[in-house]
Amino acid sequence: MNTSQGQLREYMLQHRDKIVNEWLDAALQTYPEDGAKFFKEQKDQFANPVGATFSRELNNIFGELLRETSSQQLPDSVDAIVRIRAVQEFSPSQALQVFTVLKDVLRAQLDKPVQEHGWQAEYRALEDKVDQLSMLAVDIYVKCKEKMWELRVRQAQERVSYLLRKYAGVDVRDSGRGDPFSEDTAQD
Amino acid sequence: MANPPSTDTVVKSIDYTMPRTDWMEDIPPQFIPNNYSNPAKPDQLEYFFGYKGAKEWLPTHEDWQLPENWQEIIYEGFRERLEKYRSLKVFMDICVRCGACADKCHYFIGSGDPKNMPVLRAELLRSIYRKDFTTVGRILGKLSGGRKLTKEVIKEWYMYFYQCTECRRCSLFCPYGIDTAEITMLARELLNLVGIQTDWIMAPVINSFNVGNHIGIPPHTFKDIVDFMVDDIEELTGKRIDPPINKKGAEILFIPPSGDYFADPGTYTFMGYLMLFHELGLDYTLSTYAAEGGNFGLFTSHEAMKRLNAKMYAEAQRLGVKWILGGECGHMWRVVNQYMDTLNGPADFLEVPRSPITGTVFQNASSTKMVHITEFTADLIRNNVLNLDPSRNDNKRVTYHDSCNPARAMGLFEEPRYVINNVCNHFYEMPEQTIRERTFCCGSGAGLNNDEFMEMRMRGGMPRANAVKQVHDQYDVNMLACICAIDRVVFPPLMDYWVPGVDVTGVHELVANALVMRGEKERETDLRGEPLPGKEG
Amino acid sequence: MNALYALIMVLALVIIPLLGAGAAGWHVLFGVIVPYLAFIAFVLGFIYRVVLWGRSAVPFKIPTTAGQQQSFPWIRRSRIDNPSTRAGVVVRMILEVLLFRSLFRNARVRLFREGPQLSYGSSKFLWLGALAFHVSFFVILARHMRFFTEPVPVLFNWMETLDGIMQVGVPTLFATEIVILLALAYLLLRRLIDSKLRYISLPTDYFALFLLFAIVISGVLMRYFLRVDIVDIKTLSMGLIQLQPEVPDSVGVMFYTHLFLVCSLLVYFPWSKLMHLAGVFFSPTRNLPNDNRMRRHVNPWNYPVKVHTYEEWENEYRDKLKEAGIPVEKE
Repeated sequence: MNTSQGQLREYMLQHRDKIVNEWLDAALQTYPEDGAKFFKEQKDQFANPVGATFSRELNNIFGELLRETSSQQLPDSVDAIVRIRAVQEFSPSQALQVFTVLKDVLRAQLDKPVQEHGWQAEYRALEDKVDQLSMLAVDIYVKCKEKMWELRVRQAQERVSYLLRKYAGVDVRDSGRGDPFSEDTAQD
Repeated sequence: MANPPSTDTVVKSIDYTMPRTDWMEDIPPQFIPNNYSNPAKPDQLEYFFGYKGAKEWLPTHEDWQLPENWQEIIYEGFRERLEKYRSLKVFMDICVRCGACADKCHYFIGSGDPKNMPVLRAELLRSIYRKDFTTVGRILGKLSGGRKLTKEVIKEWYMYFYQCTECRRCSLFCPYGIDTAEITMLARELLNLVGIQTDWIMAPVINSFNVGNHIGIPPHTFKDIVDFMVDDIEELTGKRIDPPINKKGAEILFIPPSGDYFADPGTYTFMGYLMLFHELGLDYTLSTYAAEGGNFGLFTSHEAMKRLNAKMYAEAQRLGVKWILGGECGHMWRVVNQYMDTLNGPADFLEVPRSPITGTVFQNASSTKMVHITEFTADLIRNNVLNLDPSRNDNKRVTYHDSCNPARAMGLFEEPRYVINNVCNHFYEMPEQTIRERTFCCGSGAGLNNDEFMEMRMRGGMPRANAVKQVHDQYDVNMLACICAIDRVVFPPLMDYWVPGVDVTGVHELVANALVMRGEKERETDLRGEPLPGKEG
Repeated sequence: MNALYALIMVLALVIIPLLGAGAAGWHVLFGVIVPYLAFIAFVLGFIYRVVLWGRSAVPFKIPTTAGQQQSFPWIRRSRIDNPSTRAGVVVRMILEVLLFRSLFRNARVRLFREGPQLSYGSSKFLWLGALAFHVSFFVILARHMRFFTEPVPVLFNWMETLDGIMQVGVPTLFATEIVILLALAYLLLRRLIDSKLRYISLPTDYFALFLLFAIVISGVLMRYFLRVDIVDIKTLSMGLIQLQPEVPDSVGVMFYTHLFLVCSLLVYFPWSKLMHLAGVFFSPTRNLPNDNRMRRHVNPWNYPVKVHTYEEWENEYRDKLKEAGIPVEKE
């Protein structure tokens, strides 16, 4: 088995552009056709932040999957995508479909070479990684939603924050803005 | 326990790909919690519009409790507005669907929902127009793009005309200048006629009308707030100031957006105004009657806008001031610049504004007689009458967001930049296709800045946040300056979600930080109580 | 599907003259009566629509400001993109109408590092395609004036010479004919291929394109392939314009087809989006100066509204005001 170790990885590196592109297509399939097309074709990162983020970060994530141990880049990249999905009109499962479809994409792209060369073991390991990726995405998704509620509450207070501070002695500034999950994702 | 569905079935169950059918045959819009603004309450509608017979309803309900003759009401209202507004009539007729606007809307960019393409948003109304108001449409019906006015259409209108922030970005790119803001305003008027309105627009409208600000803070509380601010300013500078309220015979009436005196960080901007005026020895007054520059009437109907705006001139006349100075507020300036004089003028009881400090005559406001505070301050700085120490803002790396209305309904680009550049040493522009006339909306304008709409706002504001992120990453920008009270309320959560580490400020907060007042004590902190650069010790 | 409806309708319009003027030989109907009726319909319809727009009020001055306002002498104002004078508005309109300035704005976006610039290309193409179509349409229209003038003014002759400057083929190939076909093809293809455009396009959008296509193609066929007698055509057109219609025998069915399609366009024009030709001049976001605060705009139907007067307001808050030490009108 050891001899074949790394060969699938080599294969995937060689076909990286194609696989990532298929993945991007599958991920954007979750949008209405016109939107998906816009996201894919408009290359300006400011005119099209969604598409730019997707194509950049999916590629990064793919790179991370091919590494022995992933780096901080992985949660950052997943975060960038999940943050967008969490505020678009998707149910949780729909939102995370970006990651679950990767399995289908990989199957379609890799089944043949895996069968041919007997890379099954490495392939299973890869699938495990995709599962872990999806789990990571779930964690981040939940945090994004929590963040949303926090923002709602905070905004309701901040609308009259000066009054709260002066009349009720409640300083909503103290509760600390900033990212609740930057602490655990930002450090290396 | 049932087996969880496999990935595959989930994938298959959510095919978002647009069916090949016409957009007109699309399924009616799906209202789910958090994708709509809550509707107005019947008593609000009855109180403000004298609208009788309204009932409670929710967008998720099947029955929206429309009046029995709702079609007739819409039809009549439409006909009337086609005669009253050439904009509407021309915009209904001349769109060629070239698609230039399609990807210019921040809501489309953020969501990918095709009905957020400005052209299609307008077609929601245009299709009814064609069917009922054009000869060809009556004959050809669907072939010429007409469709019947059904209850589903009303629901669709509610969905999409309340996903438009009236920012006018699309109108910039349209070869015929078709302005979706105008179409949205009139579509909302039509919805209004059948009792469809949002709570977050109606409540501020009524509060502004009755009390004088959108939260409904009574005048004595306003006085308290100003007193609190005076205390805060004294603590900061050692100087006790005494802002005049409802003072007859003052030279200038100053009208801020009300958000600036009860919500952070607008409060610091408000303190900034007060400090500046005091330092100048300006003969001005605040008013508790006309205490709201913002005008949610703009998001309701032209009539509501007029009813709220009337207070400004009325109060200026009562107090006998010479001219009016307006605070940092976005849509307030759309109203002041493009509507006020027409609605409630002529203001011939006022004088052409002239800065008592520099003698500059504001010829560009010679008829409306109202000056924007950044115009006023830019003139002060130009004439070197302020003692400024920009290094006090050295811990702030600032970028500037052009608020939609002062940008595309006024052209106020250089004045605020001039002010910022004179009070800060670190200023960085966002990418050029996202600023000035091409500025991206905050995503929460036109009455969409309510709590239940938060997720949608995050989406709509994403293009703006994304551009902020660019300067945050590249130049370590940590402060987003703006001249709009809605911006100051909605950007903090937007930044918090997309670009943590960027705070929000009004331009006059920066001015006040840099402003060296005569006889002030050595400042240790900025207006927010954060240590000044070099005093962190 | 929408495109198909439109295509069928245009094909029907092609078949009518083929049968009527060709098979049945109703030359007077297709050569005289239909053109007169179409022309009258066009003129009346056009006036009707313009008058209708003109009758709608302009209650507010709402220009879209695309540049720096006029404020201080030391701040450079944008005289064209944010005009504060009539002259500025005129220049803005001219640039808008002749050069499609707003559409061009699409293309002015600076390119960023992210990959190929496909969509910028396409938005530039929209501007270019639209401009190419409109300019060649205008030149072709002007060239046709030679059929309605005797002697032909020198301007039209120049135009024709210029248009045929490539000196290719007999008769000389006109550049505009190639350009207009390419431009139309581009405008059609983007509607069919770009899913965004396909989604927003109505049958009428395709109808206009197919109709124009049919007109150009019939014209090209007549000029290069199914040669018709120009002298006879001029006899007919001059007769029409001098109100002494005369129908020569040998003008050929292709001419009647061309003429009938043009008549269809004339009739259709005032009732369609093609009226953007006139409508652009009525657009309040473009044809008004941003001098709102300098010159008051009058709303013809401005009416008094119910306001909350200071007096009412003070009555509600008098006690509180006095308590807080805020001056009041009535003690």
